[in-house]
Amino acid sequence: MTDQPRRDSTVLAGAGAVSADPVGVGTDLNLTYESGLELKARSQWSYARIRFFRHRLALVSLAILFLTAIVALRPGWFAPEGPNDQDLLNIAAGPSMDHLMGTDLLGRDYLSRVIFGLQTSLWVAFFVAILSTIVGTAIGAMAGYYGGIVDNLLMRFTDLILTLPTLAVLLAAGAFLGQQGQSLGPISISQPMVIALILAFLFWTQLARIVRGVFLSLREKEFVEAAKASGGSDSRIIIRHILPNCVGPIVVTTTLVIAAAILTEAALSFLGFGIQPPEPALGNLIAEGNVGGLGYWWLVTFPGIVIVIIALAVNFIGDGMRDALDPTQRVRA
Amino acid sequence: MHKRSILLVVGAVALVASLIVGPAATAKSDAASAGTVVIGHDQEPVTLNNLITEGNAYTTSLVTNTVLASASVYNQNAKLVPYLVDAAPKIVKPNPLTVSFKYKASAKWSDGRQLTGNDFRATYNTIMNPNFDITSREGWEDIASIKVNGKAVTVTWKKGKAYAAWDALVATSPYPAHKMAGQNFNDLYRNSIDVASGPFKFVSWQKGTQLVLAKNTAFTAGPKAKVDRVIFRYIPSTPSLFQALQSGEIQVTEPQPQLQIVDIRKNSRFKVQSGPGYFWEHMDIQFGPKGHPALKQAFVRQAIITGINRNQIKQALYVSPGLVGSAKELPVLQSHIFKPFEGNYQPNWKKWSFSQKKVITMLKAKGCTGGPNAPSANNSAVWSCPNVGKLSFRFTTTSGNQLRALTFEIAQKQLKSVGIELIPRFGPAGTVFGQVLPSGDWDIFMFTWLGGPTSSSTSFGLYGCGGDQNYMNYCNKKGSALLQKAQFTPDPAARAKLLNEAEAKYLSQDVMSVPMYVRPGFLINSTSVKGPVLNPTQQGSTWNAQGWTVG
Amino acid sequence: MLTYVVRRLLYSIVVLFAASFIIFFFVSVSNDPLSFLRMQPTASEITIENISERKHLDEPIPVRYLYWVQDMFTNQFGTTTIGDRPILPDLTRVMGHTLQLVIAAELIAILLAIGIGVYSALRQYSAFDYSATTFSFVGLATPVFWLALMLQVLFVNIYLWFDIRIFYTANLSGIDPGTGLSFLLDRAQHLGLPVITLAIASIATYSRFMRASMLEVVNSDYVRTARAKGLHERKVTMRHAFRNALIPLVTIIALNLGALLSGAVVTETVFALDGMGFYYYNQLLLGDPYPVMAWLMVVATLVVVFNLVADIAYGILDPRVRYD
Repeated sequence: MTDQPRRDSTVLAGAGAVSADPVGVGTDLNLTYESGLELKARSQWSYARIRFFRHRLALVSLAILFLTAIVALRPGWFAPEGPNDQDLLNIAAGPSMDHLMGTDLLGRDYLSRVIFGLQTSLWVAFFVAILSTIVGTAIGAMAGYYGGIVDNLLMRFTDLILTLPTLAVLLAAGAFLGQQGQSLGPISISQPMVIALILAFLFWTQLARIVRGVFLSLREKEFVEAAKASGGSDSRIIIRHILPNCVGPIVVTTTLVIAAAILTEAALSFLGFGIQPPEPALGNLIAEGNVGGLGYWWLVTFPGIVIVIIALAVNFIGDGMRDALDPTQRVRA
Repeated sequence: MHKRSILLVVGAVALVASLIVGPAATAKSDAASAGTVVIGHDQEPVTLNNLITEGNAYTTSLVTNTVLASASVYNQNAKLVPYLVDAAPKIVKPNPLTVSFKYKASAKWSDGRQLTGNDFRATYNTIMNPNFDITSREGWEDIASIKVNGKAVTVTWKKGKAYAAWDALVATSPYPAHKMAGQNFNDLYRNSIDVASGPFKFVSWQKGTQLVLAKNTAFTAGPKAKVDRVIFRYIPSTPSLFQALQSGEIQVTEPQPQLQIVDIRKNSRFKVQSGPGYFWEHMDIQFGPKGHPALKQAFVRQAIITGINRNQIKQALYVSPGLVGSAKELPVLQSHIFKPFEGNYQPNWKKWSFSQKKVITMLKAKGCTGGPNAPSANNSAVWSCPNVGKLSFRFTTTSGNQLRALTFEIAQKQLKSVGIELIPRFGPAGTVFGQVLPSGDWDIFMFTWLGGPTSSSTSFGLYGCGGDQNYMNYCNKKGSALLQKAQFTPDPAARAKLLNEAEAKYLSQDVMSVPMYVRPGFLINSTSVKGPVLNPTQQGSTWNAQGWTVG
Repeated sequence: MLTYVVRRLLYSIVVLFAASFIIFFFVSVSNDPLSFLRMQPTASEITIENISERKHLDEPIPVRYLYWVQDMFTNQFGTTTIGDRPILPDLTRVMGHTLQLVIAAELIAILLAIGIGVYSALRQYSAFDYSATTFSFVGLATPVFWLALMLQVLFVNIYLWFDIRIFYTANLSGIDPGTGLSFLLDRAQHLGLPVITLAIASIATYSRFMRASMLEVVNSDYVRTARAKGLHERKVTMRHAFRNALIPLVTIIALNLGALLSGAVVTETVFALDGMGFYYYNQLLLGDPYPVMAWLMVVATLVVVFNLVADIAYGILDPRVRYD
């Protein structure tokens, strides 16, 4: 919860996820064999799954996130009313049985607003995660695999993005580019997606560094040499042979990017430079509610709690993933 | 680190904390010591020079009006009352317009010099100097001559250029001739004002935090100030401003319309005054080539104004939540020229009463198709009219303004149920006003005109053919001629007649813009401060600060 | 080492210039700082033209950029478009305020976080460890602006119910801050809530980090050796484990400081604190490119410097790191 977007904490978490043996199943296998408890050989993934499911908090979090994702996918099924159904005779009413989270300044059911806001915020976070993962992986893989001048150029660019004062750049970009939807030729991008693009532009760097690290350490390994010798193309080697070894750190980092994206988007929207009303998002709901002051506490409190719960769940899942996919970490945890 | 060390650290922190909290609890009760009034404002002045562009802001007026006093002051009823002048300035001759007035014998500068007609002349010369960034030279540029005889001044305008708002012009604060001589006026009073003609004088300005004024003991032109100090605290975010008000850090404030005011109204520690001001909210319609073709049809514009329940909007935003005291305080605005509280106000737009059925009948009669047969909240069909296409309009306004966003949402819903679609095009104030509005590339644009008591006389600029601020590209030649004539009619009654004729016969018939409501002004003061009275003009809440008491 | 520093600095200067042009372009192309003037029914055309000309608003953007560069070097970042206000004095003022806020918050955060982190590591899986971890997780998941709002609500209500003034909710000092102790007290009451907000955010990050690195060190071979040699447990912890566990924390703190100095935008905005972040926020709202640019230059320089400090500190503390 730094005041700045969560890039720093991604550094913390991500740093640990880099290791020469990214999946690191070896240790566990040996243990099992030594104790003679298990004879059936298991895949890496089933071990990861077993370890993840041992992490109870992560499991509960996964369930919570799964539920919120369903709600966000089909908000209409869960919201008691439409997000814009005004009831001008019932303005700013506190929580009651009719309106579990009260109503807002136009008498709209706030629970419905929060659910639709959740949809926007989750979509944005999801897109940021996907975009930044694709970009980060691609850049990191190319830099690590080719090395030399390609590596130098790409990593200098990554450093450049890393030296930018994140929130300041986000605010400026939000203020000057992100106030409305943009169109690139025939493609029109909705306003929340513009915000997602801006966020993604700053969020891929950590992953790029991690992936590059793994590629650097693996590209000289025998199996890569063998693949090369048998005439595999570069793209095939990158995608089929080396990339699977990065899945652990990629999954972990992506999870943490989701949490960072949710929190950062909320802060941007709160300051008025993120998602613009009338599109509801968790951050701008709080900003709208805050205008009402102390008297309308529910308008500020509920969306805030939802943000905390989601970010918490995502962080726990990230933690569980790290334990599962990178057991060397377990000594530390 | 051992357990004990941890305890040590925790102990140390606790000690520091208690040091802070302990005395703090008893240190201060309220923000004000005896004789000090603290005014909170959400905007800090850029400069204290009220005449140049960046100083032409309400927040600057609040400070300067008490230091460099106006010759005549707008009171709570927006009437000019003599302050530094002996009596209300008089028209000596209507053509060419000649006006005379005389500063009080007791009017003097705080450094002991007399305030004379030369100060007025120097102010005129400064305003007309093209090197200085003067906000507006309107009226001043048509002055033919100024005759000064000690404290007496006679101003004559050019023939045929009788300035309608002459009374407001001669009421302008005279600036000190002896301080302006040889100075670059753009830099004068940027950070401080070294002389005073009003009941207060400037003491200090701690940027980003507060500005301090103290009683001007040399002031003799009227009653001296009763409080020792007036302090402006600058808290540039409205929620924080309210927190500060509730926790006693400020005592007087004039907030933007915000729902927090409702809570404050219920609180016996505060007094809330509200009333209509001169800022009016409206939805302009684009007539130019970049606007929607359908909007060039009178029946479409008439359908829009008929389909918007303006009464419901202002009720929902201001009356039902309890922002303003009663519905009477904030009537639906039925004129673009005068405000409901002005004597010359006529409800020229009243004919466009809200009726959803009528909208549908109107559109059907003109051969439009595809719309709903009856108004319905769930309707999603949109009308298409012959030759002009679908009735789907871009709706532009500033983002980040809660009440505007809500206004849009209500209006959008109302029009949707009769088959007219509004698509939001919100943007930051800088972009929508700087680029979008002048470009004419919009269909419907909602914003506020920052008017004042004299704005009715300059209606030509807004609604006349080719008017400077006529961003709608609207032109009705007959109406325009009347507006132009009014601009140079110094007699208020004759002027009002022309303006009302133009609006009733032409403007309102054309529906070039939908008048919404006059934005209410608010003045909140802690009950420990007595005397603040809401003033609807740019004079602002400090207009009678010399009469305030605190206790 | 020296060549490394020089190389980094040279590279940063190139980057700063590239970034400055891009940002100047965006800020200028999408905004008209004179829009508020154009909105006034009576605004004088001559005046608008004068300002445009003086500020070169009528020139193409690359030319304006060059004027800006000239202003930056010869005129201390120049003046604002609106009001012709010198920018540097304002910037220095707000920087002083942000420094007070950040230093206070970080000192508290570092001390507490080290304590919490070390203790949790030494008592792994104890009740304390679990509560600290929970706090840290919740802290990391709480949006700063929301925490700030909640704190405001809490303390305003404490004042309203019990008539006890612990903290003020806005601004940096009272109307008569006084001098000496009463000034300090006044400042502490005004800075209290923002400091707590920022500190909680930092503690959540630092303590988790401290715990992890302490655990790693405690379980490492050399500490095990030290213990095996029969050294006193306290001495092992303090002399060997603690010191080494601090190394990574130093890096994180230096990186975080750079970011925080760029303005705790959110915190300062919620508390209307006259600091760097709030200054930037307000200038963005005004849409004036010059103060925005000046701010970005100063902050980018700070970030570069702190990143460099982080690198160097790491090199000094950890003898295994060499810069080539």
